[in-house]
Amino acid sequence: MSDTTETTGDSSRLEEFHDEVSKLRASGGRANPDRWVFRLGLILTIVGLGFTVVSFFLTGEAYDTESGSQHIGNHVDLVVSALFGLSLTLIGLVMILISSFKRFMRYWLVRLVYEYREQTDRVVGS
Amino acid sequence: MSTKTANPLLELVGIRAGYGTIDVLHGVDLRVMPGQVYALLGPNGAGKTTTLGVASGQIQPHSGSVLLDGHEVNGVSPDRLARAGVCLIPEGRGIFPNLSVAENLRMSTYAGVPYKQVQERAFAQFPRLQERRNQMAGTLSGGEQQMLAMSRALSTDPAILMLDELSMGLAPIIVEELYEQVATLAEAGLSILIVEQFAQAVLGVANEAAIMLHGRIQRTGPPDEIAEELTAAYLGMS
Repeated sequence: MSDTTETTGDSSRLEEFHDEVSKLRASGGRANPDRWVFRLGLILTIVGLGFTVVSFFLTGEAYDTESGSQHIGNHVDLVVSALFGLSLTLIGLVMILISSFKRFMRYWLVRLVYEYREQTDRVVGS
Repeated sequence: MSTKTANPLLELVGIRAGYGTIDVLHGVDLRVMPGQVYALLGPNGAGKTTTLGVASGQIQPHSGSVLLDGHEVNGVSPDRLARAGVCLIPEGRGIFPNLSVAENLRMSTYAGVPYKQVQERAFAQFPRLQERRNQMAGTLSGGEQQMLAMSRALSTDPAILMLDELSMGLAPIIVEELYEQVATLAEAGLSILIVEQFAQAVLGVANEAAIMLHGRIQRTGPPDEIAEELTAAYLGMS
């Protein structure tokens, strides 16, 4: 077999491969991206719930101390922060659901592949 | 046709990878040049299949770089790498056992190659598949299944072919036949990375070989030199 530095490669295919590869965008992917999505989702959910609960309790205290009556202006700020907290919670829950679902689907796929292989070996062996 | 390329077609640089938090590869470096047949040898559990998983984009490394033709492709999805020309035949062949041979070949037309062309190429390379075209793939012999897997892979016109344990569970005469095909492909200029536990057949067709032990490449060199050191390496004497 020939020396590989002076290769016998099909140059047109290699050029095509070079073009294809240069179009690929490396994302610098790291191991277990799902785990990061899950963790981020968990953090967002906790922070969001915190915002919502704190806003809820602060609403009760948002009254004018001089007149002793509730002030609608203070309420609006707290309602906005409560809604912000709820949005964070919702986004976090969606991220947790997506990563869990992906993990489950991957497990299901691996199981299917494994069963196919087992079946093939059984059929060939019989 | 002859071409001179400076870049390795596939290069792994300092790859650390594994499953979950457990590292299986502890800094793997390897280079497959265009038109080269590179044999990666090692005992069970050395990390050979994980290396192929990283090279084909199925396993993301914890650190290190995967380069194709000098271009870093860390994080690129396996399907995009496959469409670009990176092809892996996994251990266990990766065929559809409940589909016929013809249907299996049809499943490999995703790369845009017409079905007729896929079939003609497959049957020209492995005439036995033509005789079995309507037979369920799961009922083929191990050798015929491997032929089908190779046909499916080659129908996508890959630039680099990765074979995981080609000889596993096959009779020596079939292994010989398959490696003749590998040699033909290599002569046609295809770059091939072969992972094997049993070295004799693969060293006959390889340009370069490496011994992998405990997630590290222990030795790289010409096949004849590697063949001499292989037994000692497997027995932990080197």
